[in-house]
Amino acid sequence: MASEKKSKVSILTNGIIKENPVLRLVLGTCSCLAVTTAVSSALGMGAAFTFVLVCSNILISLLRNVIPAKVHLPCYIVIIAGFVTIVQMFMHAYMESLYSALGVFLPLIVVNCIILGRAEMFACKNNVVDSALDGIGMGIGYTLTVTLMASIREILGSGTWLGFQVLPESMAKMSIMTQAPGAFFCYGVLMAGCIWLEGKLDARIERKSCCDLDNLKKEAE
Amino acid sequence: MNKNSTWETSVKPVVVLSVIALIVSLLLALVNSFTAPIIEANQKAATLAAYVDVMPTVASANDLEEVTDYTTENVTGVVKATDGSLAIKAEEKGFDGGILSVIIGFDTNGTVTGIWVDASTQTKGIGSNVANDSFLAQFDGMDGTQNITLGQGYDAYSGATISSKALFAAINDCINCYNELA
Repeated sequence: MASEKKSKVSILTNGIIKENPVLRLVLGTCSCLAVTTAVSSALGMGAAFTFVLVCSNILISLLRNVIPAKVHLPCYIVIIAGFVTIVQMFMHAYMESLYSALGVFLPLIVVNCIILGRAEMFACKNNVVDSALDGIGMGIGYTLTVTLMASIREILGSGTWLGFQVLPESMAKMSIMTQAPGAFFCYGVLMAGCIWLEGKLDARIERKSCCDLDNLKKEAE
Repeated sequence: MNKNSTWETSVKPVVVLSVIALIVSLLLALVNSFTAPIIEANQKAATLAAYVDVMPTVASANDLEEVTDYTTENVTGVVKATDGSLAIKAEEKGFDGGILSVIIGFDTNGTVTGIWVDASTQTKGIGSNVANDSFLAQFDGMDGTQNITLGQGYDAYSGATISSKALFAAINDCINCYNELA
């Protein structure tokens, strides 16, 4: 992604709407659908995810001239897996309930395409500050998205928000929202909403079939 | 340096990857040595709380005394209350090798006073259902001196056969251990 004149602010805000990792780059869908049954686990996942993303982006950016191209993927995986395991150990020690709520999706952050994707698309080509900002922006984008999705699903599906009762108990619950079909439905609606919002904010954004198409072309030349 | 030298093409990638892996492992070992005792203490406290949970006559974990002179296999812990009631913990391999743990409380007559199941290692929404209270209610108050058989008076959780089998095996471990100690 263009290391040209991209302002620091735009790098940071890129991840929130224009290049929202979940809704626009359509990465990390698996964890996004799985952990959004409750707001508390979505927030926990978002925090763990952001931490790993920022740390791995910084480290990979620092090492971008040291890591030979031949083994760059194994190197990234080792670094990312290291950070994920650290988060996992700390969470197991200090946040037992969150640890069991996230279950298998916590270790699966290792192979989350967003983190690997940002390492590959951004961190390995940009300096440390930009990479850290990119990590923070993408992390915020991911956290906002999963929290929003979890809010919709938790309120409609269980009538609660962050565990507090918000809809009257007598109201019928749409239990489909807590299950996989509800997740996909919610995902589609949010994705459409994000594209609509993007058009409202800046009509000139061109539609790309692949987020990194320009870059790929540039590299091919 | 020549870009195509053996160092650049073959040796450097290996060295860099090894060094990174080594540093990450060291870091993990460091974090683990720091968090492992906390995790162990948490688990011990959770187990003690579960013991108290299945023994209606016990109010706090301080009233429990650990029993170690048992030989039944797969039993990982036994506690005895001051009134003679026992709580026994057993573990069995469930689906895909995940450990399913069961704690059963027995009163002095051998009647089951409570059952606690940790099926968090089993598939969510399928095997994990064997820990549901409504499913476990069938074991409450049963005779804790007789082994039970799946399908004979006691049901498996529909669709979760492997986890149910592990649950029944663990329950029988507890019963065997109770018979051994009583």
